[in-house]
Amino acid sequence: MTATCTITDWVCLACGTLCDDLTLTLDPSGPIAQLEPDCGPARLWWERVAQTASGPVAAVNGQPTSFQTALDCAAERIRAARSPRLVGLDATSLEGQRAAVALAERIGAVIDSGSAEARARLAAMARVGRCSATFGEVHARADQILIWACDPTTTHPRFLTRFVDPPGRFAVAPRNVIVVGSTPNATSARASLCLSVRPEQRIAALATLLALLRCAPIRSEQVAATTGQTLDAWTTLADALRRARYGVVVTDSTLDDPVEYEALLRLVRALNQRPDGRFVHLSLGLPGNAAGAEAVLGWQAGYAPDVTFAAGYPAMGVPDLEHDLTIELGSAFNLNRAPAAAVATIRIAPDATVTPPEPAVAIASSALGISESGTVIRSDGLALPVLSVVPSSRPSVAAILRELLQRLPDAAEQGTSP
Amino acid sequence: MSGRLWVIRGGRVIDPANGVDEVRDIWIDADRIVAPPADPESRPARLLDARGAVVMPGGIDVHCHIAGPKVNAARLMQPEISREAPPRPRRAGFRSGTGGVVPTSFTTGYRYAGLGYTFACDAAIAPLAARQAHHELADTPVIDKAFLILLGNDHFALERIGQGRASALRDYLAWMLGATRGYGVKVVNPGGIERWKQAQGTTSSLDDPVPGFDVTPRAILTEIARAVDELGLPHPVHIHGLNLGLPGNAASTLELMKALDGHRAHLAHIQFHSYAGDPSDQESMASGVEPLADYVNAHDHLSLDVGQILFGPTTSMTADSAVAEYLHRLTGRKWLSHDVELETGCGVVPIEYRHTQFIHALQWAIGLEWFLRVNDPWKLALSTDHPNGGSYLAYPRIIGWLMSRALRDEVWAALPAPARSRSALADLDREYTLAEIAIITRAAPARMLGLADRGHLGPGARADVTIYRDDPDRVRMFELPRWVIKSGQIVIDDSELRAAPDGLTLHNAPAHDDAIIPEIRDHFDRHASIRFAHFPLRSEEAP
Ligand code: SF4
Ligand SMILES: [Zn+2]
Repeated sequence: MTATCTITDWVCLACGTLCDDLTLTLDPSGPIAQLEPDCGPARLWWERVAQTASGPVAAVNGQPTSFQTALDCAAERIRAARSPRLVGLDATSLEGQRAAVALAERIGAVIDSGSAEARARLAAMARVGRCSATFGEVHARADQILIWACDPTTTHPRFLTRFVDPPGRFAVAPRNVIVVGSTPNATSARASLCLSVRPEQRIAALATLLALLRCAPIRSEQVAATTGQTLDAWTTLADALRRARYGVVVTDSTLDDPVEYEALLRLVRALNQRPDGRFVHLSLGLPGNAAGAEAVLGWQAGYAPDVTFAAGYPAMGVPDLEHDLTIELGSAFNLNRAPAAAVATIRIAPDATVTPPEPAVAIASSALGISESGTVIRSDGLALPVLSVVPSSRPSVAAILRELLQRLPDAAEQGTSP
Repeated sequence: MSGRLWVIRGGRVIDPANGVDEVRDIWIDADRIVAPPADPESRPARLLDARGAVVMPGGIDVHCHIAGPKVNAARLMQPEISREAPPRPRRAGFRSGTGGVVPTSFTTGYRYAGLGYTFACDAAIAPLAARQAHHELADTPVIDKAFLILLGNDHFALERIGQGRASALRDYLAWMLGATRGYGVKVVNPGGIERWKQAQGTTSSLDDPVPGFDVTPRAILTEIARAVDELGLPHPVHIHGLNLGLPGNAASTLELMKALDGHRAHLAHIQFHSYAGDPSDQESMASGVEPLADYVNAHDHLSLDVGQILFGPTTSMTADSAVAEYLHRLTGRKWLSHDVELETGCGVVPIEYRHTQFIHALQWAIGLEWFLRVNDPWKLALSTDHPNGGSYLAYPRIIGWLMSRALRDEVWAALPAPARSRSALADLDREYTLAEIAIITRAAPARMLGLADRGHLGPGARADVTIYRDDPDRVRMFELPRWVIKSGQIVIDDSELRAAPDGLTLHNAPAHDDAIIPEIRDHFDRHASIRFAHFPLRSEEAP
């Protein structure tokens, strides 16, 4: 039996915190022997994704085949398709995403993010802008943390312990944590103030806070009726926000109503009108590389998170089209991803050949963060390098997509040169 | 080798760096310009007939914003711009994209090439954004690129400056350039962004304190300028000073110029820093160019780019968060702000410059005053601070105003009288020659950036060449080059984009003492949200 292997500064892709500080000790046979610091979703993710490495490299109509044959089949189907669609762009590295957008453009595909949060956030941002910060700024400066309708202690287990609990350069601990939402939950247990509000009451709650900040007239009966909390409770909360030297509102991917999103960004902007305090918004991402997908689409296509290349140039959004072909990337990447509504025609993922439903063409890639290197972007915009820690003979998603692109040549030759 | 030799025959070659303005041939071998073959009988593999045309080195943009999260945020915050501008459809060999003032990365590269530009320097990349910026620049074809790393509000640098540890600062800058694959060092509102992030306003004078750090803007500027000089970096420290956009800022700009005496420095978008008047009263604004230009004319340590504004809609984007917030409050437009740990901020606000607006009209005149008042064109580069003052696509219009007083007068006549009373632009008769245009658009920016093999057409230079029709309509001439050659390859032929090779991204990695690394590691361990090991780019990330 060979020795265990220890990897320092491992990057965990199991949730949007994208912790890059883990020490991972592996048994010779592969499973995690030790994870330091330990984190439940991280272990689960490793075990789930690592076990996909044993399936066939490729399959066509369920029959194992060679990588090259599967690529030929995929290319043939793409050539025959009239209305292709690409999903799962968030499930691959920046390198994979650059290749995927190039492919989508060449074949005139629609890129469907499937993310209501991203749609709501970007729509709100296009109306009012957004004040945000990196996780390290929260650590360095934040004194008031408003957790809005989410429960990071459960969904992003190390976010608060890494960036909020310890003191920062300009911030003392403990910092004031306030929770608003469907409480109690694991995060509200540690909050100094907690207001239970049902989802349909949240827009009224934001309007109340905004009115309080602007000292606009408010009717207390109406506040109680629309928000489920008394005007006094909101006044206490507004006062706490007003006192913030550097305040942060934290939301997660369940915030998917564009109206609520816009109200929230307006609240943050209003809090920045104070001469002596700053306020920022932080959106905790889903597992994977959704921020990378937004970035690549931004610079290659000008729009995000959904783009259609059906007309030969980028256009915003997902048109109402029937698709006769779906290319799906990286389905094993996200533990919580809902099963695809339609069966993919072509699936490129670590578990493509093992996880049902069975696509027409399945190509098994290496697994980012385990057997594949690449770049990922955190929801706060910081790009991180992810390194392969277990060797694999399987190609990366980026390499597979580039092979596919080569099989789908441009219609004409490139221009002349001397 | 001679099998690949080819020639651009018979054009009027304007190559100010080599003192050339005459009809001659330019010989090219692979990606380099070479001396004419000794054997007069030798036949070129290809002959490009440039008789009657004007041949210049490829254009060089010393200051623009074309990559990094802030440019991307500007795209995503303003889908309306992309929707309204005609898109660029995909065609064989070329990628599609959106247009407007913040085009997509591929369009950015194609458009620069179409304008006869072959090099662009992104002037503001946060160290933590370098990884993404390299990806974007790899998707920006044809042109070669470089970027400057923001370090004027960097905590580690500020601490070392406060401690008076010049060699530690120097080692840090050198290490940082290597780690980010950056080309040079940028300082934006030194200490002022940090102060703004602390909600204590921004710094307005060179001697304001930066809370939490034992430094002043003056110390930051002079110590970083010194370190950059001592490292022998090809480009001096690149400075966006204090009080950008505020009436009365010319006084602090003059102070800044004096403070830098004895150091090399490049002052970016100087137009935005040259206003007389009272900071609390917009209506008091007037041109403050003359004394500043006098200082520049009398001293040799400074270079400038102008940051000319154009009338029309554009996007303001800056690392100077305080400026973006100010613009948001002034205009009420949407506002994006992003604080980046350890170093900087970032702000984006849409803006529309109107010729009927007193301030905007004055800004237009102030930019042109700079071009006309600096006697030595080698000290000055053409820029719009793309896209802040306007798109780089407007350069030909600016060239038109510089070469023709009559064209300037047409615009001037339509400006509001109060603006015309606050600038002496109408008294300036100077008209640029073609050779002077070649200086401010290629030769001088190449020299400022320390790009020894660019901005000229001598043997050994990179074969980046732009060939214009000698059109008396100079705006049209510079808008549509006849041919553009990038690294020896014809990329624009008959004003059409014919090829889009990948360009290079240049960087500098000066030597440093590794003893600084444990200190940087400790700084990351205590303050950064990513591990130190993940900060430096690996060689395969930025070849
Ligand atoms: S908090 Fe999230 S990213 Fe961090 S270790 Fe746990 S699961 Fe992984
Ligand atoms: Zn700039």
